[in-house]
Amino acid sequence: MKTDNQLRSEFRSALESVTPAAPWLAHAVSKSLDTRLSTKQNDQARPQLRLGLNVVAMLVLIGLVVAAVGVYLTVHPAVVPADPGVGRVFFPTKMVTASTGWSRVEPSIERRASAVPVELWRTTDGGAHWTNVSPPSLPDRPSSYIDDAYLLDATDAWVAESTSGPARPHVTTFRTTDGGKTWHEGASIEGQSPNLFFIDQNHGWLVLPTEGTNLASLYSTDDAGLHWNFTSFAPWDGLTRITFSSITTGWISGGNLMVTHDGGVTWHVQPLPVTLDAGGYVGSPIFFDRQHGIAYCCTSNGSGPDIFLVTSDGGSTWVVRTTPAEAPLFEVFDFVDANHGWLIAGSNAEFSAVHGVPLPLYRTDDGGLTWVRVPANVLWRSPDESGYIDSLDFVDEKNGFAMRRKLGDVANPYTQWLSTTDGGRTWTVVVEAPRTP
Amino acid sequence: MAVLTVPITLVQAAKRGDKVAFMSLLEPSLEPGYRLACGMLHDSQAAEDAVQEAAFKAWRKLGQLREGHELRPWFLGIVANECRTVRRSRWWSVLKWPKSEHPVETSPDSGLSGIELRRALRRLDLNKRMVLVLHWYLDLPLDEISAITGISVHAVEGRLQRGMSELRRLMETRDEN
Repeated sequence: MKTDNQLRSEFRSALESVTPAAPWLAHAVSKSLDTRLSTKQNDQARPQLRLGLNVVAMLVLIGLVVAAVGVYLTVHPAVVPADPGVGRVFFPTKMVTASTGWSRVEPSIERRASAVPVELWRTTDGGAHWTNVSPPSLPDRPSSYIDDAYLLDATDAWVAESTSGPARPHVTTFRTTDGGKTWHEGASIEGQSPNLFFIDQNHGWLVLPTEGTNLASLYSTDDAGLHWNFTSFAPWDGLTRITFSSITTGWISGGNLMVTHDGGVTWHVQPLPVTLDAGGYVGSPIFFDRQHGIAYCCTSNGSGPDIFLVTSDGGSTWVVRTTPAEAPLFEVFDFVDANHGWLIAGSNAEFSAVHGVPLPLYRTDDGGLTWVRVPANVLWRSPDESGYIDSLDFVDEKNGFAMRRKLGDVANPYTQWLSTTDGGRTWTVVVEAPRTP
Repeated sequence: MAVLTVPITLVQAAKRGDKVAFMSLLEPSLEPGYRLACGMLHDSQAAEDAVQEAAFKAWRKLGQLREGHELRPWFLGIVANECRTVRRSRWWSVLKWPKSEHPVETSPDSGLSGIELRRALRRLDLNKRMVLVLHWYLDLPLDEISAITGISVHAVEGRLQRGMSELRRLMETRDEN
């Protein structure tokens, strides 16, 4: 058994190795502040603004029991072709069809120093070209930024913008029904770190975690975000997303799985077929219809295996589906329906390899009962690239996308975006964001 | 690590909107904040995001910093909250970060056991992980951790002991396999 000192020494070494030097940090923070503050037009007005907004904040607090009301202002973004390359970091996409999809895009580290904002991009040609479709800044919310988004289909989406004024933070929701050509501004609510979910074009939920607690204020809407009604203080550990499988039934996961059957008013622990340790974790369930859903789960006994929890009765009961015996640990996965899914997974030894080794791609056509290795033409990790797969994004049984990020050069990450039209056997690079010069 | 008291004049200047004064106050806390975020998130890019966002929130919340109180625990508390809510790689639906091991190993000493340890650390609940990182990685004393986390020193001790025990058990379980 290791002594405390040995364990502490290993602990330090283990974390030192994921803490590369960041000599630019102070400069980046300073520049970021400069840019974000300059948009307030007048720093000297800060105390007065704070006073004014504190009054607003008190009114919004009262709004916890009163419906929040939006103004439904229509705004038009400047739609310009965007270069997905230099200085950009792609985030996981949500492709809706083989041609149309969305991605949240953030600036790379060096661009972040000049505070390039987070943007929402959309493609209609399978990712070859992207357009910035973010809501435009408005004069009264100059310091806002996209904090979360929910992408319902090819044209309907919501973003939650956190407005970083000098007083208490607020979240404002925006909705588009035309792929981002126009946006409708909804209610603004005091809070931060929003989490959105919509079950259809009108019914949605907004989670605003309460700082320093394991609770969150849960709001719901039945008019697409124009009004947000305080619904409950929901359990929230900040580690997952909220999901609904119908207007009344919803799920919050994390250290366990919580379910509501009354639209979020009350929450109960959902019995599961596995026992979770203190560090156990249930991922956010993905529902394909009201009855069929799947959730990632690690029971956290220190050695895996990772499992899927599957339901076919709307979440009343869940059964365990395992991964291939030789690949008990997940990297990423995606399911397009209750039967067809893909998984990149490996063994303990493969995950523990210092420089990474290629991990195989698996496919299931029976909801995870059996997995077949897909002989793909790309390596999902390679010893000389330090890259990793950020997401798998399949749209049907044949068409899918994958994002590979390279982080070996910490200051210059880049993204490869690949597509397949044969279910994962053949992958082609669609866009490769080059290193920043 | 000594806890330095913030000079009142700089705080007052910063509260009046002097960004240079604010950065002067903040800069000594950026590196510990970055180490805390790296220790919590195991992703330097996400860690830098968390620190930048925490810095901005610190600016906005500067009025809440009581005069004479230390800036570092206050700022590290903001970083800690950012780490709790950061969702970079989980922006869409698929959970990835608990499994994504970004191989940025630089030291031969940080090989297999380092990866196993980080994996075990990620399986601790956030509160215990936070206390372990603050105490074992940032070398912060219990009273400062108490100020950062908002719990009593006694509770910090308890979390530290339980976290260490769980971490050891998780590591030993893996060693046996």
